[in-house]
Amino acid sequence: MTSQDLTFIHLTDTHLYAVPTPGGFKSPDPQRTAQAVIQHINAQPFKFEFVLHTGDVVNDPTDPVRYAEAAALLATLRAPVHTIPGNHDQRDWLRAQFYPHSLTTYHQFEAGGVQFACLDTSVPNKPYGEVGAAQLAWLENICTGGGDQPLVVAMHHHPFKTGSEGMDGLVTLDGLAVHEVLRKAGARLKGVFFGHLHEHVILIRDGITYLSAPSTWFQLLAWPGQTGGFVMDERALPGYNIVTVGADGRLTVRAISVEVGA
Amino acid sequence: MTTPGAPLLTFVHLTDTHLHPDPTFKGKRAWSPRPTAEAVIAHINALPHPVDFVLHTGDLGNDPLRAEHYIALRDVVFSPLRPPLYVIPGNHDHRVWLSAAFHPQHERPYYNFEVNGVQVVCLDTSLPYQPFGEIESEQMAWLEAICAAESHQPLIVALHHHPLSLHAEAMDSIGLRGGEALHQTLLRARYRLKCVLFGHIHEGVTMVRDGIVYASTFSTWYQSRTWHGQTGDFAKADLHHPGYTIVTLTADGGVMLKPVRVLTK
Repeated sequence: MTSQDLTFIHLTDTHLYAVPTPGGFKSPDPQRTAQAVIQHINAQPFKFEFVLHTGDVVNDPTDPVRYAEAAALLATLRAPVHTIPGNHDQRDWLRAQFYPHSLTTYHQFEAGGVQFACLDTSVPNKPYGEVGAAQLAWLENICTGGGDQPLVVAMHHHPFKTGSEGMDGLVTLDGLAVHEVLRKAGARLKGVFFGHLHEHVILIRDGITYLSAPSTWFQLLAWPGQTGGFVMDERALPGYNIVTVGADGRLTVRAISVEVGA
Repeated sequence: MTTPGAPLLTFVHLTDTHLHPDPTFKGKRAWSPRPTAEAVIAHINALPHPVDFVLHTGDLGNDPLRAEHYIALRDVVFSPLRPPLYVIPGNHDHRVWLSAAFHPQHERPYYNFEVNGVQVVCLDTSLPYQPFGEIESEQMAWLEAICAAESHQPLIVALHHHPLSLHAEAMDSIGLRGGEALHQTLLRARYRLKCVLFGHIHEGVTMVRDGIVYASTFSTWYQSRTWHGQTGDFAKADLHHPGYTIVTLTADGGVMLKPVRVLTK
């Protein structure tokens, strides 16, 4: 067990350097919305150890320099940033910029006595996710070891379908296999944080809690039974999660919305 | 293998409307709770999917002075709400008047009901004229019997006060007393308990303890704000957009909570 409480920030889907399409689906400027969220986080009256970014850091980059630029922008946060790849990232460039010490695009780190397993669910040039056998074996090794050290898992794609046709096609294809492996961690596993949906949801299954954060860019409107393509939720706000892993074994997550000024 | 279970039940978790029979009432705030509550009700009515019921976790009224005030709120404010409404008392409610107006079929302010095979347990944590909450012994015995029962029915539990510490001084001073005993009781039903829903804190917080998820939703009036290690008085949020949470249970045992903010301007 940890001896003290650990607080970190979960944000996701910054989609930096995406070209806004005025009047349309992707009308906000992603750098501007990301900066508004960063300012809001930096103004919080408490200490946080780091920021966890669950992917789609950069939107479809064609040059690795975009990750150096993204790292500079995220360095304006007053705590270090940990990232994982999303479907819009180039995972090798992202790894080289943010965690070059790791030989794989999935990685782990430790903070405040808590183990963080950061999955790479991205599949090159595909919008859906997949973890694959090698990474699943790596995850299983983590979930079956570690004594009683608290464990938090990060992944970009949602682990299972949420009943909305458009997003169901972009799920982690082997998400239920991931879920079965995560069950082996038992009470060590405090929560799983993800992005990709561009909406804030909490999924609960077999005692495991999966939490997404809103995108810092734009939000989608989805519901179980929804058919057809994606619908932008024009009135939903960007945001992030404030997460505390308590020394008492509890997880506390506060959902924060941010209004981006005109 | 990733096919989701069909939705078994979809309902809305709504809380802390703080309504007053006088529609211009503002209390200590700069705006009335009435228009934002009406906007939320209209938003729920316009949802693009079926809603089986609405569960209101208390502080429906803001210190009403007469039993008829609840009748008026029921008939004026809540009558446009399309799904059936279930309510529990908060610290600003009068539990007997609230119960009489909204669920006269139940003899007590705490009760349970069943929809689509899901059991919903509605607790009364209110104490007359006290801001903090407690589950009195007779009710606790009733809850213990439910949690100890041999059942495979999915279970939802609702209460007004936050049952776990937020590590925030002012808010924790008005939380549920005896939250530990409640948690130990709920652990007995852990295999079928889908989530515990609460209000009171005017903030969207999800807490997980021993695999049990406790989730609050936003007030429809104004938002408050806590942080881990907060000392001193209550803090106001920087955004007061009202909200609610859509709860979906699927046939394969899954739960999805979707907090929604309603932008009224």
